[in-house]
Amino acid sequence: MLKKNKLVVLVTLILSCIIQLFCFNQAQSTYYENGFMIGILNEPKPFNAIVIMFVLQGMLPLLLPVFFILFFTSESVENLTHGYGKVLIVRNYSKTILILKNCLKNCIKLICIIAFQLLIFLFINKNMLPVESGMLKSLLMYFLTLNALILIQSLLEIYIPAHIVNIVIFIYCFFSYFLVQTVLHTPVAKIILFPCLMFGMQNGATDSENTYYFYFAAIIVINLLILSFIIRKFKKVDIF
Amino acid sequence: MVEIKNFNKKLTSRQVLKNINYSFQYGKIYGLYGHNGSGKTMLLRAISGLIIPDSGSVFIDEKELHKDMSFPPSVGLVIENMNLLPQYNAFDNLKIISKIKKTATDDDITEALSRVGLNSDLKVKKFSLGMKQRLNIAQAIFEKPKIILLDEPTNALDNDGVKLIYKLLNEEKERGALIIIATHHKEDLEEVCDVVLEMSEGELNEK
Repeated sequence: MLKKNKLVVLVTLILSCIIQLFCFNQAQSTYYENGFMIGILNEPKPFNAIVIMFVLQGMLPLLLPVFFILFFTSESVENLTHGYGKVLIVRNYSKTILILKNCLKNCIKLICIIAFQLLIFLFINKNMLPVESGMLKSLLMYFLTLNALILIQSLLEIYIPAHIVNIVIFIYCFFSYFLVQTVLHTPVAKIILFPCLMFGMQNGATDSENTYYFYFAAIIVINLLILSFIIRKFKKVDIF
Repeated sequence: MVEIKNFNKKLTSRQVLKNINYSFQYGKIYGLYGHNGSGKTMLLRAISGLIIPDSGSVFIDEKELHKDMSFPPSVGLVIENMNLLPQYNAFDNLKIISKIKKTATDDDITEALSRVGLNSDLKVKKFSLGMKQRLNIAQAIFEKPKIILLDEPTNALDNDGVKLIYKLLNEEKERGALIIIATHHKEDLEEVCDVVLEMSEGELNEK
């Protein structure tokens, strides 16, 4: 599988970030100078063919690196419960500690990837917006949303093969952005479709402090809820 | 001592383990005999903590699995579909595994490989089936575990290999390990085991 060759995945990830930056630069907006702050605009739009084209055009460069990040972290739980994983798992004392360590490893991987993305952005776009305009807030929200997606990935991998999990999450990300941009605009809808909060325009990091802290609290709760689910379900899973 | 009490396990609509009650003692070799699908491997999975009981429990030295711990603190396991890493040689494979518990030294790894008659620097992907089986057995014994669970350990081994593994199992028994072998070759078990148990339709009976 492609995933086996981490170097290929890493090179693809770099390329996807560069493509993303190139697309942002075409947009000629100051927000787009900070790759983590942009996002599809927050205003509701009428549901017609032109809008759909506009939304799709905006979404693809946004979500491209996200897909590769999820690809990079996939199979982490599947590798514990299948094949060679059995050799490793029986040498552990507690399933809870094991799954927590696994989630922590994924979290560290994600921090490294985001730091790497930031470096690419800074290297290519030297006029990146300064910290006081909300870049740190955007980065934190981007990290927490992606972390929640990776936790869902781990949870689903307990029951479903990793490649199917990836497809399910990709579809979820895609539709969460698409639906929030076109037909669903309420805060509840945005929380249920939380991948739409990854970038600054939807989560308030670029405009509203109150909106930002509301969604920030929501995404923290989502992370904790999924983590507790993973621990509970992993403890009960049979390994064959 | 490993004690199984009223262990029941159902998979979909089939009862794979039915009210298992048995006590396994250290320093003995137990043989589990039964036809395919009789529940031998499932019993090994139950003792190693890989499956969760519907009811009943497994006690390892009076500590309950899935309550006081998820897996036995000292277990070596050979079970189906646990291929080692094909891109490494035998020594490196065991070295990687040893980093989890950090109880085995390089000498322990070399000794275990020589005891199973595996003195090769080839990568695992170039191993024959017999060599892979020897490596699996080395993987189960190199940390000197107190419990050794082996599912069809003589599969793919030639006669010399089988003799070597039986000699090794007797040495492990002398060390005080509890060994459980599951196989459908009854004649193999009578040669090496202290106690032979029969599994049939998920039930365990002493012969």
